Amino acid sequence: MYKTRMGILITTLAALAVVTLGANNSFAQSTPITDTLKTNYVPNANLAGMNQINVTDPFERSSAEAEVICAGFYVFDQNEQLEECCGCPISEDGLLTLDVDGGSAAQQATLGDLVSNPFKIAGGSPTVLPFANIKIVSFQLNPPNPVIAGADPFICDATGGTYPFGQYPSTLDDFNHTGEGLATLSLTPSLRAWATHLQNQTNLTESEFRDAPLTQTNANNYAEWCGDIQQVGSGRSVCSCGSDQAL
Amino acid sequence: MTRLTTVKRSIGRYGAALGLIIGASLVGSSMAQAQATPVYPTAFSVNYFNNPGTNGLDDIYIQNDTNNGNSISGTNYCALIYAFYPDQEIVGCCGVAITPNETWTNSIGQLLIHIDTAGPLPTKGTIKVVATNDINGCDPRGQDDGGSAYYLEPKTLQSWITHTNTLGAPVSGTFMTEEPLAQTGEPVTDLANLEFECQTVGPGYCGGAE
Repeated sequence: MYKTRMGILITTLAALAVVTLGANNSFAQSTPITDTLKTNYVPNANLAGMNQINVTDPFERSSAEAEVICAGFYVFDQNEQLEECCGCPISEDGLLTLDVDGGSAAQQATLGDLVSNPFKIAGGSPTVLPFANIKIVSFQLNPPNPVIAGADPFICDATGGTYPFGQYPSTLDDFNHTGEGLATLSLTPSLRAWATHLQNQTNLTESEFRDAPLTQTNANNYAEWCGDIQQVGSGRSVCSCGSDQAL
Repeated sequence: MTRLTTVKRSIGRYGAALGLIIGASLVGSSMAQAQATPVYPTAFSVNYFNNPGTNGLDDIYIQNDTNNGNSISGTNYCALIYAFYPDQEIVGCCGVAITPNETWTNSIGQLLIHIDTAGPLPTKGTIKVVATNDINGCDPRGQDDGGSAYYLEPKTLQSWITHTNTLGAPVSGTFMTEEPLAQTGEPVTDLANLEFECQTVGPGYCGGAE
């Protein structure tokens, strides 16, 4: 009899634990995670060398914060279409500087960091974005991948593993296509970023990226969307982390 | 006797299972929260600097705004300043006491020259200002000089920095922008990390005008 009662008690507690975990998970999925999404805009984005974005990770290394985290860039056009995305490692107190459009017309495809390699094409070639809405998501480095172990310890996959084209060393791309629906980003605070704005092609202003709410579900959606355009883009839709490594 | 033995066995048998369940619940909960949590208001602020040698144009301003002229009396506070290369290595550090309603200022170029005791001078990087109580002569190394531990003092200092941007064609020209330093919400333990990094290079002199 006691065994039966004890069994019922354990079963009840187990069910309660499962429900609690589920509730926690659901709560975590739908509750904004503080300081993980920053947003800004870039006008005249297609003018080479006119706009810059600077990003830093001010948090010092601790048991709750890694020394190196990722800045995930998600670049939207004015029609809400995600055009480019990429993830860039950045260390505590480091400074990552990106030229929004970094080169001449001939160089844009290779030197422009954020708007020169968009998903959209016109006349058979990519159309450099004249205006960009830029969202930066801060997340943890991707877990160690046994295939690339030792090849590059600082993997920032903005697709969350969906289709990390261009996020890994090129020779290893084929090993990292984990498929649809698996996009997860491990969010962590707390990047700070600033963007200069060339206004009316005559004056320059600058502003800090503004904080915006981001849930885990939204972050995963960004990641999966990023994977989708990179997969369909076949080389397009991948932005660049620039020539300066913030490590 | 038999009944008691059965109860003990049941507890022993199911205790482990119960422990596992409770443990799993706790682990699950802690995993969901295993990330740094920003704390506001904060005494930490950050921004970046670029082209520090460009005609000495870029400046930093730090203001003590603790005296509102009415009921709140002003207090001196320390601005502990830490500068970093883009690759996170520390350039140098210094501290300066700022009196109520005072605005301390210096050019970024001069500040870096004063605090960069080892070189080379950076062309760009990040700069962090921490507001603390006024003790230890505002030594950015903290207790390394045998002084007392600092207390963080949020909502006491306000800071701004200017940036010089040189643009080519079709705009062509030099443009200056300005921003307040961004509030970071770092945990209190970050100050100890900054102090330690400062100890490795030694403190510099903030210089500037008061």
